[in-house]
Amino acid sequence: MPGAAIPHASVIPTWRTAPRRAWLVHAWVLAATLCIAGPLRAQPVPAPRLIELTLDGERVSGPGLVRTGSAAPTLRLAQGESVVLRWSAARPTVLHLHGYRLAAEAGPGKVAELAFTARAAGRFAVETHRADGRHAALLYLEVLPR
Amino acid sequence: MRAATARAGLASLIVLGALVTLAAAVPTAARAHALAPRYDLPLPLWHYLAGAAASVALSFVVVALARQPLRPGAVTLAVNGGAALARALAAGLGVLGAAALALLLAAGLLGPIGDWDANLLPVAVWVLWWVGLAFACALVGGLWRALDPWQALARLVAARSPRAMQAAPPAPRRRPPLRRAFAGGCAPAVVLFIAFAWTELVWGGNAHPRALAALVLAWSALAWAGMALMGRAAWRRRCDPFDRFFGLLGRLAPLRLHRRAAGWTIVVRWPGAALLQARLPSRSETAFVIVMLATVGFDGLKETPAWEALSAQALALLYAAGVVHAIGYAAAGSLVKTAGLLLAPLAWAGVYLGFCALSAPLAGEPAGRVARRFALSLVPIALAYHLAHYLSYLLIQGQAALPALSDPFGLGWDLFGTRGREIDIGIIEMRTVWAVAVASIVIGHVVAVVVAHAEARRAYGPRALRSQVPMTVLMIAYTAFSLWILSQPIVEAG
Repeated sequence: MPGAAIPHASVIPTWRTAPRRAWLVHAWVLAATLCIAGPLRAQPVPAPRLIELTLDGERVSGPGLVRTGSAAPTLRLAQGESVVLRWSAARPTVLHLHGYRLAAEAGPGKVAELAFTARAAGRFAVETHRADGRHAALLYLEVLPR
Repeated sequence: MRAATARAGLASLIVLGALVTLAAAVPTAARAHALAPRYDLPLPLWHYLAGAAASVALSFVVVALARQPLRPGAVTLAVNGGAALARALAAGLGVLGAAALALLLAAGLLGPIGDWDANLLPVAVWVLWWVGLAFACALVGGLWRALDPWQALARLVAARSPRAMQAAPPAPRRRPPLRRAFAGGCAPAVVLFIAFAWTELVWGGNAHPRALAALVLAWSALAWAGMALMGRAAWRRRCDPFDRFFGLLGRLAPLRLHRRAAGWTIVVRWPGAALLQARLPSRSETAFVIVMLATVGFDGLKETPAWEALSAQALALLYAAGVVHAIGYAAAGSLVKTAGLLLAPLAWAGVYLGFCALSAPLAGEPAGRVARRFALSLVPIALAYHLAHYLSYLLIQGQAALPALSDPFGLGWDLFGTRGREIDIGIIEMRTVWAVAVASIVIGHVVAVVVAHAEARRAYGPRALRSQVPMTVLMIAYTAFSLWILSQPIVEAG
């Protein structure tokens, strides 16, 4: 096959022979690069939002809590937001954030912090263990999709 | 021979009693957090309104178009010659079911104890089997009947022995003793389904591997004792709640495989078309459908703030009566939930029979017969609600099976390289969950209305349209109720 070895240089589109197609290719490469590189650009990392919560027995108080008909209030966050929930409690209380699987213990002279980035939307309970072994929901976190 | 059978039955019942005691004795007080939680956000208001509006509008479209009697077509392929393959496939599915049962029991009895997702058994039973297999059965009809490990093992015994575990014992002289006692409808299946729903929704030990394994063993003993005493076929028809539950969902399946002597038959049909081919359900079969809808509905209802408030009031009453003092908060909470679980089927039946009574004079048929005629047409709404309620749960909590499968006995194995894998709670977008929820509820509603209209047209002829007004109103109300539950924030009532 003598002809097969010859590079098919004449078929490759040049600026002159196929300018439109070449431009399209270049535009596509540029767009793809931007798409990939865009999210990788160094973005200023916002400081996590600090939310101070106070526990009085099993009642939670703090800024921005809403009541939705349930005994435990609801705190709404936006998906992707970074937060620190800082808990102070009058008596020793074990805290569990479900779904995100975080735990901390608050008590006299001991401030508990649950720090996380709310990457997944949903409704997640913050629970505590009672003396009789039962769990009780103290607070619900609603991470709303953007 | 009869005495031998009775002795075998007695022995099985003693074993059953011992296992139930064992299940009750497993310490469960510290495990109030029985099953995995659901993380769904409440359905936004406009989704709720759009779904309700669409179901009202589409009901009118169905009524307006339903001038002709509906004959849903089906494509039936008869495959001749694949008999050996069909036999092998059926046997293989039975072996698969039995092997899964053995693995799960071993994991439950020997495997790790910890959080609900530490052991394979609770994850497999409550997430993969009860939720996942229900969806699979709604896609492929007859799937559970092929997998059913209890029937498969009983068939194996029947093939080896001329007398034990037969489908229907041949000679009337050897008629199993309990067969006549239960010879009427499927009332035992209704009772057993409620008992099963109790273990799912109320029992505090349902995620404890040892307790759940004891329950599975107890169920196995009961099932095999029943098959031995009344025959495999009668047990399935009258007593087995799972065969009936998965079978009802299978009537919605667009695909069904039948095995024949000469090969197999593949049926491709409209979803729900098989609901129209059923004979008129008996009273207890109607009750089963109502109980199935009510327990699935109560499952959602018990997570709403409204139920939380109601159960708090009931607990306050029990406290005032001194009951809480006597049995403790946890048991009193279970008592309230048990009452809810038992009252739900009564409430559902009351509402359904009320609408049937409204429909009866328009249809020219007694209310009881109307109730039996349209019971099956409610099944699509139940499946749609099940899907809307449980889709994200299956996809999120079902992931717990991956690490558990790699190391089922807690021996440090890593069979599939998934040991220690964490659950990804972001596997499905919340917007997707909402869209699927509304779409499935509206589609389920439309299938229900179409099935009910087709049945009315077949049974009542020209009176069909008028007779269907109360039933259509009920279905719209039921669909709105399903959407309302989904629009409520999930709370975990103590």
